Amino acid sequence: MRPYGKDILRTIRGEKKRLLALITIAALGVTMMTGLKASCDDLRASADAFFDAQSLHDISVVSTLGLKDADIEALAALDNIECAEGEFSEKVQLDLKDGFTEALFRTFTPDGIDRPYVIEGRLPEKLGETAVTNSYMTVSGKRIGDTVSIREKLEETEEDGGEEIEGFEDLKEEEKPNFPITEFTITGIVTDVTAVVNPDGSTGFRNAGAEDYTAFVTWDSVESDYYTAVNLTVKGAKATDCFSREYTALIDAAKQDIETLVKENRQRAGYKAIRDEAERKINDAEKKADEKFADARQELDDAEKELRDGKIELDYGEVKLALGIAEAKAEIAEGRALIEEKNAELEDGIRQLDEASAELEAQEAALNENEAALKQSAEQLAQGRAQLDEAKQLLQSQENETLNQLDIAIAHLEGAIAMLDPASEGYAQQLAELQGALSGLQSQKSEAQQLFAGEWEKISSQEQELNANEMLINEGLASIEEGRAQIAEGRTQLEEKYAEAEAGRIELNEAQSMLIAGEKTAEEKLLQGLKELEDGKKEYADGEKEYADGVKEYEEKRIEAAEKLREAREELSDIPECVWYVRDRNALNGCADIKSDADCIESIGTIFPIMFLLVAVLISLTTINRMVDENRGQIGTYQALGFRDREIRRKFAVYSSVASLTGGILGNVCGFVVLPEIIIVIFRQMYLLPEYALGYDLTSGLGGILLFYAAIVGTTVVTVSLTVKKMPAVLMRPKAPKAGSRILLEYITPIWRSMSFLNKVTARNLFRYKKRFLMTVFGIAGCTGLLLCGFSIRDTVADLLPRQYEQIISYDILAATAGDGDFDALTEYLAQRGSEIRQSIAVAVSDTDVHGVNGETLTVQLYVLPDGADISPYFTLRNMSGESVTLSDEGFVITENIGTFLGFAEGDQMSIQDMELREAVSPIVSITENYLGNSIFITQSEYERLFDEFSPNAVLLCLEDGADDYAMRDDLNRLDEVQSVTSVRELKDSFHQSFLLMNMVVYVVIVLAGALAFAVLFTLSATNISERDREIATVKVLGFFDGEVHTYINKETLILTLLGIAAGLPLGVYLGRLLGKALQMPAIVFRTVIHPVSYVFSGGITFIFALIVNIMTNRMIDKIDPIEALKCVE
Amino acid sequence: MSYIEFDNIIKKYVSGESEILALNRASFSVEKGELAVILGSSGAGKTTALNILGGMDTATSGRLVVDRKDITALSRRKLTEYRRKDIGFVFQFYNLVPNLTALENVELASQVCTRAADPKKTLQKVGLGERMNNFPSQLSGGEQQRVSIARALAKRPKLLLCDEPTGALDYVTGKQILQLLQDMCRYEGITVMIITHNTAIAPMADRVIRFRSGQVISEELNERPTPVEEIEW
Repeated sequence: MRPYGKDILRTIRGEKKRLLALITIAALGVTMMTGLKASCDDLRASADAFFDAQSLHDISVVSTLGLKDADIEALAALDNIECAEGEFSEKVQLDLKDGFTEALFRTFTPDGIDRPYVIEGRLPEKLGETAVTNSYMTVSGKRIGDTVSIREKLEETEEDGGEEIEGFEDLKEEEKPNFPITEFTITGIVTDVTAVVNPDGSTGFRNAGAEDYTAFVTWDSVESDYYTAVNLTVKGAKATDCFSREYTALIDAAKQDIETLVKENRQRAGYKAIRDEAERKINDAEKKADEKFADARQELDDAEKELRDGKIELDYGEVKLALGIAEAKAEIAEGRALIEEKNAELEDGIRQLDEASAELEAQEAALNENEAALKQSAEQLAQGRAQLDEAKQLLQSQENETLNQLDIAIAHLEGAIAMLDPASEGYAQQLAELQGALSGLQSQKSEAQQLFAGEWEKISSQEQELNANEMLINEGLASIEEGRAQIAEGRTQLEEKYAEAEAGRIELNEAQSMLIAGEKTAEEKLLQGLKELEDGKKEYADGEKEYADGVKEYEEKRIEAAEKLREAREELSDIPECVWYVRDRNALNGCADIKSDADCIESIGTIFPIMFLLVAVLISLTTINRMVDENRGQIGTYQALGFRDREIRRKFAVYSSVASLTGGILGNVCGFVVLPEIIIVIFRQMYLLPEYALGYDLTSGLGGILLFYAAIVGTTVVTVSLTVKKMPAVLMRPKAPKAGSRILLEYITPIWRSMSFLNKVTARNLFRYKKRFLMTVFGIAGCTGLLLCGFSIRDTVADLLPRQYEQIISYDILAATAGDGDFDALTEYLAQRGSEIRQSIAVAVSDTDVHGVNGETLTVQLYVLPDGADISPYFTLRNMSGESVTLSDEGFVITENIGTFLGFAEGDQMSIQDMELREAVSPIVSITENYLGNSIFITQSEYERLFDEFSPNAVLLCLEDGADDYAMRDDLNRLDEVQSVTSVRELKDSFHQSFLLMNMVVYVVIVLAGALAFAVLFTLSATNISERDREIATVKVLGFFDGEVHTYINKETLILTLLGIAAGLPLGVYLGRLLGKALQMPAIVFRTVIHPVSYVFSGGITFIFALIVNIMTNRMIDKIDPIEALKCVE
Repeated sequence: MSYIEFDNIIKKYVSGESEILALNRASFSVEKGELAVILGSSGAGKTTALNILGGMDTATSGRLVVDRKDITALSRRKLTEYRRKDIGFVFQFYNLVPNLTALENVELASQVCTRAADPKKTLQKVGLGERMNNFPSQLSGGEQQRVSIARALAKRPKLLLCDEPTGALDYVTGKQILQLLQDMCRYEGITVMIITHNTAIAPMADRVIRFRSGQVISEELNERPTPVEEIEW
């Protein structure tokens, strides 16, 4: 690289502090220029992207009579309409842990217009599923998969006192529920693209009538024959930025087409359809009624016939009963007689039997006698026999004995015989003896036997005798037996006969019992029969009465029905006209807010950068100037060497370019990334957009860089050019120090004389360097002004709280219901809490649209106050000149921004439109001071004149001094009937939340202004010191202590700073007012105010920075080496 | 017409109401290839004259012709060209670029001049072969002066103007420098003009021009200039 290039490079690296100062200033300036605007652009771009992604509608059409498919077709047929889609929505109540809350239930079409954005879960696909907004999930504590139940508010049927006729219910105009099922499963959490303002981020006062919660369902969850709105997208609109003029033009053209080509026709068609439908319904109803009445008549006739039949039956029954009784009686008498007869017979029979029995007894006795005799004989016989037996026995035994003995002896002998030994001697003898004995024995035996035989004959003849006797006895006994048998037989027969008699007696007894029983039964039957008769008679009487009633009812109902039909026909003429309202995105919560927020920040972002630019250029000038001055000698040398002018310029131009480009790029980064990221944090709190994309605007980004590049490099080039115009010799000679001269102050002798020497030096120095004087003062003034401007915005915003919530609004709580029954419930409840309430007033509060002169619309709160009520405890209304305002019956009292933004003044006619789309026009009676939100106040009479009956739906409360505002608010919120509760205490406490965006921007500005002030001070001081290094060195050499040297320089700086602050404060006031005007938005009135303490702050901060810079420059002073500084060139 | 014709030049400075005449009708001439020495006490106008000669200052009136070019009539741009190509200037206080090394300082010359001499060789010629990569702050006064001379010489100018070149140098160094200058004059054919208030140097010159109170009071030619080694002071 060529040496000159090296020189340039090394200069850049060498002069770091200066380079840094320039970079900082360029960066700050570019950040200021691009940052705020970039944030707004990002917000708008992100919103536009979101709206495009979710196909937010461009135009929405609503009608007083609802919309039908034919309407959708008519709209879709227009050339510049891309897509038309119907929507059904209704305010319902969703359940919470304790109570219910209002929400909007609406349909959506998948991939259609106004697609909800899914945060978690999925969109509902069928009946029974729903997706809800995040705020509902938070407040209810539910999760995906839980059920939510809805309560629809069906209109109560009016003017109905009487009972319903059975069977006639469906003829009534009762509202059928639009949502057939009431339990839904939550399938997802979504964001409603038509409501992107975060309800949990409290900008509540901005949105009158915002629905906090929305739930989406598919079309099959809705049963309705009309659409509540038709949403349209316009051809070509998506491609444009929805905040641009191009877009507005497209939309206006489309709206125009709708108004001229479609609206009228469809309005007529809509009205006709409704009217025809109504007439048809009435006719159908009439027909049905007639049918029903005919049926009823028929039934009545049938009933009459039944009655008659019944009566006949009854009479017949009575007669039958009487006959039956007589018959029964006769039968019973007969029976009785028969029994008597038979009884007598029986007695006779029994007597006879008794006789027979006695006879038998006698016979028996005789027999017994005989028997006894015989028995005696038998006994004797027996005795005889016994004796005989004995004798027999004896005989036998004797016989046996004897025989046995004989036998034995025989046997013995035989034996002995046998034993004789034939061979023995005496055998023969013995034998003879023995045989002799034996024969003897045997003869004995025979004798015995004969004896015995003879005995036995005796016995046997005795026995025969006995036997003959026995036979006689036995015969005798036998005949007795016979006799007894006969008796027995006779007895048996008698027994039989007795038994028969007994049986007969039993039979008779049975018959008797039966008779008695029969009698009883007959009695019972008689009683029963009588009773039945009675019942039958009674029934008949009842039946008669019923019939009579029935007839009466029939007549009554007939009359009633006729009456109703007549009324219904009359009501046909009350069908309201069909009016269409064509609205664009400005009516949406979110779109308009984003626009105004972005505009507001942009206006801040326009004023501040201008100031910054001025100060920045100023400081760059100073810095570059100084640099060129320091390099005078070198420039001369280069010139001497023969370098051309442009070559010499190049060195400094490169240096400045590097500084400004680096600063500019840094500024781009801060401006398009850092600052927007900071501000986006606030946006995230305020809006529900899913993402915020950082954008880059080539124009402003590059433009900013170029601007500062031009400013800084331009200054450099100009300054160098001025220098190189001089001859090298001149440049190489040191600049002649500025000639001293007398200052004005010197001529004021008394002051001059009393000043110390050093102070005189300071005074002279101040005026000697005029350029520096002016630059310092101007630079400081600019920064102080910016600081004060920032503070003034903050103060203005902070003051809104006491102004609005203490001076203008003095009520504590506003509780609103849906009206009528709910309102009564509220008043009842409040009556119970009377001890905590000091005062209260019943009012009617509703949201109203006001149309401005140029077609803009504002949604404001309409307060209808009862006639004659004293509203001073609740509102303090003052007009713009400060006089207090009273409500009048002649027109509206409006808040100031309505007048400002819609172009109205006192006395003008203003048209308002309520939520049922009814319009009314009235003059404006007064315009009152107001700071937050917008309201219209009218009296009850006025309201009744314009609309219809005044029916209060809300209560304003002033609580007693010890009451707990929050507790009251919570309690009221829990009541189902209460739709919304506003606690002023809560608004006050969460006030700063609402202005988060504003405050954040203010702090950003203050910080940047402070940084700039610091940079300015530093640069100026550094320049000052390097310019006067010889002077400082000389002073040091003379023997000044370090501290004294510091004071020598710093005194001047501080005095200049003070002068700068003094100049800057009024500048700040002016800027503050300017900004206040630029920040106008419909919902807020900025009346610029600056608290005294802000003056102190701005001046104080600048002064403190001055002191800090002094500390830094003191070090620089200390570094000045007298020797080097004093080295002379000449 | 001489090579250099300094003719009735007036240089006026106006400051407030006062008028200072740095040069009051000064006139002299120098031939090509001469070594001229300008003598005079402080405030005599020597530097002013040299500055005008070197195109670094303009005359209030009068005429300066160098090599048949009327310098006083030149436009700014032509004047720069003149400085660039024809002049080599050696300053009393060196005026080196502090950010560049000795070598780079000399290279500056070659940057402006197409037929510049080799910077390294030139530095060696002035005896600074070893100090080429030092910054001026690292060099002594004499070394700095030599760099300055090298820078001027490297341009191979027609006219070498030196303002008190030995003012800050010691006897030996000073003589070396002067020898160098004389050699340049003799062997390279450069016209050299040296300002000094050291009258002892005068004998080395071909022409001695004396200034007093803004005017040239004498102009002497020296037929036999003394070689530098023989000069003592």
